[in-house]
Amino acid sequence: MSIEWTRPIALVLLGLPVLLILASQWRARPSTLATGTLDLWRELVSDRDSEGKRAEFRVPLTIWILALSLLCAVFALADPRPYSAAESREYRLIVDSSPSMFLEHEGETRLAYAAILATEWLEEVKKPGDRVVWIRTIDGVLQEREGLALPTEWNSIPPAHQPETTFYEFDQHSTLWLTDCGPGYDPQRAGLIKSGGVSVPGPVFDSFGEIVVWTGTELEEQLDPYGPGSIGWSPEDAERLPSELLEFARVWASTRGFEFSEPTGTRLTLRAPEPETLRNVYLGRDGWTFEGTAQSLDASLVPGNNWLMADGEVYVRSEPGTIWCGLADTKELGGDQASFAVSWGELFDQSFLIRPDVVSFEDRWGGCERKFVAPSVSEARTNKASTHPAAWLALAAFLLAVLASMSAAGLKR
Amino acid sequence: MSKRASETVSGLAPEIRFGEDFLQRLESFVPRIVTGRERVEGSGRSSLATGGEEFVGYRPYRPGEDLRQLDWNLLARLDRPFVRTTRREASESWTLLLDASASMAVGPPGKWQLAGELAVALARVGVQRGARVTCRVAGAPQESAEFVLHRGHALPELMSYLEGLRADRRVSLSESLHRLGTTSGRIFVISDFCGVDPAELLAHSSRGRSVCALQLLAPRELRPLEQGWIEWHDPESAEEMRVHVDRRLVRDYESRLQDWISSWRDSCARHRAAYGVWSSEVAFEEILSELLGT
Repeated sequence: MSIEWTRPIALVLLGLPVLLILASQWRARPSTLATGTLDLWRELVSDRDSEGKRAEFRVPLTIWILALSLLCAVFALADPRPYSAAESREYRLIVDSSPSMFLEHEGETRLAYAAILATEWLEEVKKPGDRVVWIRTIDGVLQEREGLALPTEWNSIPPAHQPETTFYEFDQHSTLWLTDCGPGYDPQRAGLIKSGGVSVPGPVFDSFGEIVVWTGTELEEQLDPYGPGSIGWSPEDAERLPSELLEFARVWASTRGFEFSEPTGTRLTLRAPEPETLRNVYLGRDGWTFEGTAQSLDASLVPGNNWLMADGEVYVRSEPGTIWCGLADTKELGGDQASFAVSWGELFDQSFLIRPDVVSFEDRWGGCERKFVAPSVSEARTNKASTHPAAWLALAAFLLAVLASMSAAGLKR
Repeated sequence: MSKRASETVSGLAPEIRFGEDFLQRLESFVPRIVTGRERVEGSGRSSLATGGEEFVGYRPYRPGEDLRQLDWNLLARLDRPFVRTTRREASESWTLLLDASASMAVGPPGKWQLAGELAVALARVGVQRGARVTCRVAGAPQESAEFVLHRGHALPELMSYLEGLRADRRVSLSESLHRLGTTSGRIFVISDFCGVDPAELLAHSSRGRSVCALQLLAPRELRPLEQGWIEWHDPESAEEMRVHVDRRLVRDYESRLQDWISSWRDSCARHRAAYGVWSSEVAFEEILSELLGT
């Protein structure tokens, strides 16, 4: 257990109680007074001599209480903060992993610049035992890494296009947002590092076959060197997947302008898990139902986000570029058929791969100001009153002062 | 007195300094006290200092006055009541004995200062009454231990004499009283009487001689107000004693002081000597009014 002082300068006032005791001794020093009736005093004191000697250099109790009150007041003013390894701070650094963070200028990405500023700040505030956690969201999944510096693998652009980070979910003390142009709102409790950024040429829009490129001076339409894109599945997977789903996928691809390619598509691939025991299921969502056979997906083996679940089992998961489907033979597709099309169409739309180097024009154009706002860390440790002794010390100082005044009043009476 | 004490002890005033208005106060006070005294004596009231008297005339009798003062012969002759008024004998001699021991410097205000003012005022009254006034100072150097005034003698010389003396020595008033050897009809002793036995003074009281003891004490000696640790310093013996003074001790002190004063008062009363105790804060006019009567 260690103690940290919020206002250590206040500790210079610790001399006050000492001065008080010295002043009381100075006041209590005997005054030398002349008298012609010394014989009378001598007669009187001879009876009380021993009592007088015993009390000679005693500091009055009132002064001791007052000194203690001052001591408590000074400590309260200095605001002690006890902490131990178990109560150490946790600093959270929320990293924006959107494509614009990986734009480079003079060999340094916006993310790298923001991470350097964050590390410099951490080196100033971090105490031994404090924990530093870097956090980012990739494909909707929260990733956490501990360490003073940005994890090395986070310096490279994620394979899929990542949406803007929802920073408001992390508006907490001891938390720092790392972004380039900011989320468009200011944090209340968290800090903020805006790396800013100059204009970086590159693709700003992908229209599947053509791309719009920011040249640094103007926007220009160019042919996409990767082609319009395709959707696909392997023959093995095609045998295991419901025929209704494959038929819908072809319709969806034709409306989006994608071609079919085997065994994988450049934009989206439908995949079935390794065949295991099928079970009869009855499940559905968005107003449609599926009755037939299916096998559940093992989340540890199959990446992506859950999309279709029943009885605690997952049957469809998706990630950018891939949809994993555990559905097999269809016995009956029930409910609203149109809903089936809309529901799966939205999943396909969310899952097809956008080129990760496509960055919005606003982000490529840059022009954001660099900004650093440190988060509040003083209140970040704990909310327990017991670990804020300043309030208790102030209360003790007040009570002792009252006690001292009562004691002084009693003496006067 | 030791050098240390004079430098650090609070409340010592070993010198007399008469104020510019002192003579003016004296000249306005003395005629009043002399006239008043004659009236008082005529009325038969006694004051603290009464004694041998001299006939100076008659005045009409006022109802309620002592009939012993009535002149029966005059009543028979004139058929009107008259009383005799008297005055001190013209040949009377007064002796003022001032205690100039260091304890008289204790104040504030200093007892020595008031003693000086009283001595000059008494001398002025005595001269006014035609007495031969001898002022002796116990503790003064031998060559200047006595100052004699007659009628017409300038008071400023007495004042200068007293201003030249300091109350800063270890003096035995008892010894001075033993050596007094005076034939004066009245003896006024002005002192704090610290360490003095009443009998040593009252030995001078006899038929045809009146003794008057004026005891002066500093306010702090009459009623100590200071509390806490006090180092009492006796300027005469240079002894010091550290005492923690509290309310109880002050109460005990005041009780013992009253016992001491009572012993003096009783002793003086038994020997028909006048006695009074005053704080050094009291003006000399007030003391003399009480002492001589107005």
